[in-house]
Amino acid sequence: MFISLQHFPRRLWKSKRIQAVVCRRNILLVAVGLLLSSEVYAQTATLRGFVSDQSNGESLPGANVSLLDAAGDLFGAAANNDGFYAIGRLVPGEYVVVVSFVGFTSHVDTLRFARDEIHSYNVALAPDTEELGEVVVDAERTAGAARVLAGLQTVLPAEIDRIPSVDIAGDLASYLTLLPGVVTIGDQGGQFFIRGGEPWQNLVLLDGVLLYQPFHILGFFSAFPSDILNSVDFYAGGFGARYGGRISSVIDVTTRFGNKRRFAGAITASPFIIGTRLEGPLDETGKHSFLASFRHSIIEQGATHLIDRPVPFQFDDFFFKVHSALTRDSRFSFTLLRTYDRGKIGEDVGETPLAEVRWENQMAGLRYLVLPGSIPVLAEFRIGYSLLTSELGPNDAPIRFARTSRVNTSADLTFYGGLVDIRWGLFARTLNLSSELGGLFQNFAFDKEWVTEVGIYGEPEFKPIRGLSVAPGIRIHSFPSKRETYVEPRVRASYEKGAHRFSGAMGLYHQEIIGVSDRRDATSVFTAWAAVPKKSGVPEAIHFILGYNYTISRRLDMAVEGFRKWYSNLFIAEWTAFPRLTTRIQPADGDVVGMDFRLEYRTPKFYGQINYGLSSVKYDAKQESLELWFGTAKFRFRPAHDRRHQVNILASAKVKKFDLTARWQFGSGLPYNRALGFDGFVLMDTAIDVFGEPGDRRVIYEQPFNGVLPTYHRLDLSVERTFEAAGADITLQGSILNAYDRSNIFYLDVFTLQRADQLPFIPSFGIKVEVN
Amino acid sequence: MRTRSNTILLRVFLALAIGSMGCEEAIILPNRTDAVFTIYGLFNPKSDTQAVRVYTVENVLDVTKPEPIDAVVTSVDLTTGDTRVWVDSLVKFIKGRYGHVFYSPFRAEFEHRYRIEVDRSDGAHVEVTTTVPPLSEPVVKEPDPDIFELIARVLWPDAPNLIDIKVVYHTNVGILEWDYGDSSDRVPGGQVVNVQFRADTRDVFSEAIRAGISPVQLNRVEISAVVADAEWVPPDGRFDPDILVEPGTLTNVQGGFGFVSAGYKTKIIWLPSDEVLDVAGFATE
Repeated sequence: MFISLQHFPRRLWKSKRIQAVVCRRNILLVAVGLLLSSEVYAQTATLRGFVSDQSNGESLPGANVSLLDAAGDLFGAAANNDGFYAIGRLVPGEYVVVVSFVGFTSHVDTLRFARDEIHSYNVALAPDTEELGEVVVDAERTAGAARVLAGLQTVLPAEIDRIPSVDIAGDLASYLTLLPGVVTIGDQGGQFFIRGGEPWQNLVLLDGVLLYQPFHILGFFSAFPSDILNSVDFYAGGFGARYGGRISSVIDVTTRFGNKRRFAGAITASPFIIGTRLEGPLDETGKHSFLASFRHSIIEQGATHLIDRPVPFQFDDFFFKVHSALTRDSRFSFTLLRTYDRGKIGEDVGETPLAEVRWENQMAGLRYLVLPGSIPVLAEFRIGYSLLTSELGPNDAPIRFARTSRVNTSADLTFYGGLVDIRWGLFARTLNLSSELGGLFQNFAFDKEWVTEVGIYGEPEFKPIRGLSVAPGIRIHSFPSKRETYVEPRVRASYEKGAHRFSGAMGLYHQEIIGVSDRRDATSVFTAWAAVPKKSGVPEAIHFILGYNYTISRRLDMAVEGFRKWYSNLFIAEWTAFPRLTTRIQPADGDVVGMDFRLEYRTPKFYGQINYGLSSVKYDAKQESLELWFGTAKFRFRPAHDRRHQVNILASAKVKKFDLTARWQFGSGLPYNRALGFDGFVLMDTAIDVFGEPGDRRVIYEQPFNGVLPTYHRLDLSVERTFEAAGADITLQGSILNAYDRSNIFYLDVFTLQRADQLPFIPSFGIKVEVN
Repeated sequence: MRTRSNTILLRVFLALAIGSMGCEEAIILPNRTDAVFTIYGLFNPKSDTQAVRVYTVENVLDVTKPEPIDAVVTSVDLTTGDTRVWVDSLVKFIKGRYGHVFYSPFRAEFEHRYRIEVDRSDGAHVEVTTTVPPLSEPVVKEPDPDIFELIARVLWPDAPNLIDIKVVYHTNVGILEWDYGDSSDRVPGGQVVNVQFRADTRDVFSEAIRAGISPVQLNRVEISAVVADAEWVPPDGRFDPDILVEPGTLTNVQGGFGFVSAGYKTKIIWLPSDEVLDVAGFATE
């Protein structure tokens, strides 16, 4: 029986991402016989292809592809970040295919599949300008803060642009600070502590290539301006088997292809940064495109005049990408990135002037994506190169220098089987780690090291019943040069029924390559990367996440998620009463427990979001002398990034032709070491002559991290208006950072009791000229 | 309806923002420690001047300056009742640091008990009491050449405690120093150090072979130690500055921090017998 399109409720075609392939009949039979049986697949057909935006050739992640057979059964799949979709296990015959995406005119066609056929079907959707108001609202519902799924939140550029910032262009760094569970020590340094994890435990990928330190020295900026982004998958924990080598979180950034139809570009300027973007087709076929972006900070020349104190920061980033639809069934892309940062963190408050820190990222990545003609598989091959060089100290004579490079080759294959999709992959890497650290640093006496890594993972995703997805996985990660192998089981699952969605994830994670930083204070950003010494245990984490989402109404979503992370074999700063402080480290375990609550409200003219994060981070220090000092072999304490309560409120409204946005952040105080006084220390190990023995200064501390700094809160405001002139969109923005001039502490120098504050009240303005 | 909910949200937002503006911005500092002074030093019966270093416990860590200190240091010989007020001296140490060393020109008596008191003008007071150990001169007992290890037993008669024990071998290959730390054994009548003669000198022969020196001659062995008050013992048996720097870890000062004890250096020069030298592999005349 054929059911015409008129019988489908219109809502269906505008529905959210359909993750599961739905089959109303024979589920049990198929499930039993299933899986990977070539016998079975030989009887069926597969539909696959790419969905793109007709106006610019960009992919349409989340686009909905639906098939209706003559019996009235409905099959569906959602496009991924490449716009790729696949629907397997189709009984040969005639189907009506509908490709739809909010904001675009649906594409309807009739297709006939023969036995064993693998049918490639690419669709370019035309934008539907009439529905624009609702489109924005609905499109964001596929992502959004309240759509978190077992720690995973998909972030779209439009969401990033909404955050008020000192720059007119949005940046991922500003958005991340909105999320519950993401803690920054301040607005300088670009260090993110995610659900209790430390910055070196975060895996940051740009188009699949690792970046070591992509967040700029001023915390509002990163290597990821919103207008080059396609989407960002942000895993606060519980990530699947395809990711590894880090124990806290994953920030997986995918960039746009560039406009394949015509040249477009933008120029932005503000007292903090100037930037330009250019994109367009490489030829007239519409298959090849490029995208380039360059930004350069002008803080020292511009913003410093708005703030009554020096802000000695400079940074820039350059991004370039070429994307090519080589054939109907293959894609190729090449991505380049370079970032540079220089500055002094904090203020000169003590005897010793601040040391300048500099770092540079270089990254290049090749990606080839192909759909083999005879099997329902998506194959991706990648080669990536990442380099980080870091220096601390004067430019001509750095005190410390570190260089880390990595070459990664990987293959990822996804087999689309209908009731089960099987993703698996393998990788081989080589790392070159070198450093000159001026002697022993954090107990690591390393200078040059080569590390090789190989591994394999498998991650089938079972969809046995409608709304249910279970993705168990396993990752085997081996370091032949160190003779270490880790087996890491993972699982992610979700179940959706009506307006309710339940999700969960758990997994085991290891990190053999660790970031070693000068942990004397939280503001230090100089990081050297090293393999864990043989005698030390490898940092390990177990994640556990349970979440619940509820779509209360069409405009209102809520999500609540509980999480726990157990860490072992961490490296933390050794405690000492010497005020010169040590860069030595001690082993520790960690225990993070918390929950997030998110509420999102959307109308075409108003957007509101309230996020609340509650968490507790506890470390068990294991320094040898603890027994002597405190009478216990393990000492439990709150580390410097344990922010118990976080509130973020974002409100955005369209008033006449103006976009008004306000954001208020609140964070409870962070722990710090309190000093009770200062005296001196003379080592009485012999019959000393006190006239000749100079001794050392000493700090009389309370027990470690016993103090709590004041709470943090800040209100940022922005207003924007876009004009059209001479064929260009001109956007003017005025913004106020820290509107009520709150003195938020950045850090306290416990030796001098002098505080360094975060940025004060800053009025700013910006202009963006965009040609599309 | 929509307008109403928007208004409510806006009000909540503004209430939170405005309400929080009154939150405390200042850092609440803890009460400072009650300790007022930190003292280090020792009574040395072999020195004709006694001295202690006095630190003021300060609120901030500042550059040391050549400033007077509000402190009066007094010693009391608890055995005789003799009381002395010590003289302050401002010493400039290396790296330009300044420190106050109080001294008194007298010789501490063996086995006398002394108390040092430090007073501030506002009445704040710290004190520490220690006992000077008895006079002890070390005696070496030759190793038994029939026992392979060749252990020399050095006895410090009546010594309550030994620290900073060193054994130095003077040879024609070079000078080799072994730090025995405080590894002495209490025995009836004193403290004993077992000098591992053969094990200690093994490196001398290795170096001689490397340098092509033959024969290897031992000129003398110097064995030294500080005879110390019985309380002069680090809590985990090591004088590790990274451990002992923690306030309160090794302290005997009441009302303050630091450590004041009593002791003196002793040394003996030992010339092993030809038989011992021969067994150990050294040349004999």
